[in-house]
Amino acid sequence: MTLRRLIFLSLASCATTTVATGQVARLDASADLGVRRAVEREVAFARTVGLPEGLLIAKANEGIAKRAAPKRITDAVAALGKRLQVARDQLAPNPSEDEIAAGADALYVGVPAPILKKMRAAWPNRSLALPLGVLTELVAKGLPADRAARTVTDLMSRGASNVQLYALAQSVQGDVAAGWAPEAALDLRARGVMSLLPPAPAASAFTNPRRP
Amino acid sequence: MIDEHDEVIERASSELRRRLSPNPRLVSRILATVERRPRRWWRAATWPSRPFSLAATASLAAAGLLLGFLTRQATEPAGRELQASASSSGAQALPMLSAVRNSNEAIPVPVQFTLRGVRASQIALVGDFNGWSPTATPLEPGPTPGTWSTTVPLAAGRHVYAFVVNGSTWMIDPRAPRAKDLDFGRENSVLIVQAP
Repeated sequence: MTLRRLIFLSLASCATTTVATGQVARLDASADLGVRRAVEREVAFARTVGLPEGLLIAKANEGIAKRAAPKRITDAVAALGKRLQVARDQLAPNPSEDEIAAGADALYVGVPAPILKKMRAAWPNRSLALPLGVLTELVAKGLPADRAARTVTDLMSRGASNVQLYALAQSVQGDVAAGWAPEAALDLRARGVMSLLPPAPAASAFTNPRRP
Repeated sequence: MIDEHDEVIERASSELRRRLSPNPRLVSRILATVERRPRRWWRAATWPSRPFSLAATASLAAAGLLLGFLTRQATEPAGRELQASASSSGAQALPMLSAVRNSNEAIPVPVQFTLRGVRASQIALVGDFNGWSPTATPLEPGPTPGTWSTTVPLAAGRHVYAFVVNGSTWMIDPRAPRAKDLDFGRENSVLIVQAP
């Protein structure tokens, strides 16, 4: 190996670590002093409990960009902090930041917290960022959270790929925009995806065995 | 058919086998010239005369990694300014480790955002992927007047975003579904990015 290759390796390692630290969120300079202090408190707390504090700052920036009142911004940041904590706990043992953010989004639109845990059980070794995003979008489009979660989790348990879940969300979104009832659109599209998958395992995470 | 005992071939091969004795004066002159020639400093500094051993290579690679780590430490933001990075820090922080996931799911996908028919002096893309910063992702004007676009690498999942026109006017993407905003009351656009 020549020195040229070694220099390249060193530069590559420097570049990799620099890129890794590139995702920095910064509170907008025009933030109100009260907002700044409130966000500082939330960020400090998030840091102590290991939550991704950048998401809190981004939420404050969203409020500032939308010219929201300081009280609304601080309330929104505090509420997001709580959702992040719940999402992190439900997606245990080791969720990624993307998964925590997606879980908090799901909670935001009304998905009950235990559903996150069931989704984690259905896909313990794969990222839930996309399935949670699909679920969030289905619920945001007007589907009942339980119904949407059951469909998504069944598809996950039966081995649906991210591409199939994505296609489901896109199709339902299109159907609803075309005037379909959300539940009818979900039924139809989910059956289409199910037909491509192998049979379901013995028990789904959502089925309750009937007692005799 | 070639005659193996061809006389001409025999003579030629014997001439070729005969080693010429070098002229000692000529050799000494060449060596003296080479010795007098100045060695360029950059060649001495950059090119080793022989390949590195495996141990030296491994040591230098490890040093490179250490340098990269130290560089990261040095470039992390510090001071009183409120900012946060993607990674968590703090002595009491709980570990936030990523599970072993499908590697494809972590690869960001380049997504192009385009606006058409918008007369403006500047347009910025804001969203959950850039911390809602109106300065982080400006759109570039296209060849057609009123056309703007930018491409951003996004992780798989659901993303909400909007455009800020001329630094102040909030605008959703007319070609994307909308997402309600219960916190601040202004709708966002939404897109789902699938893993490659």
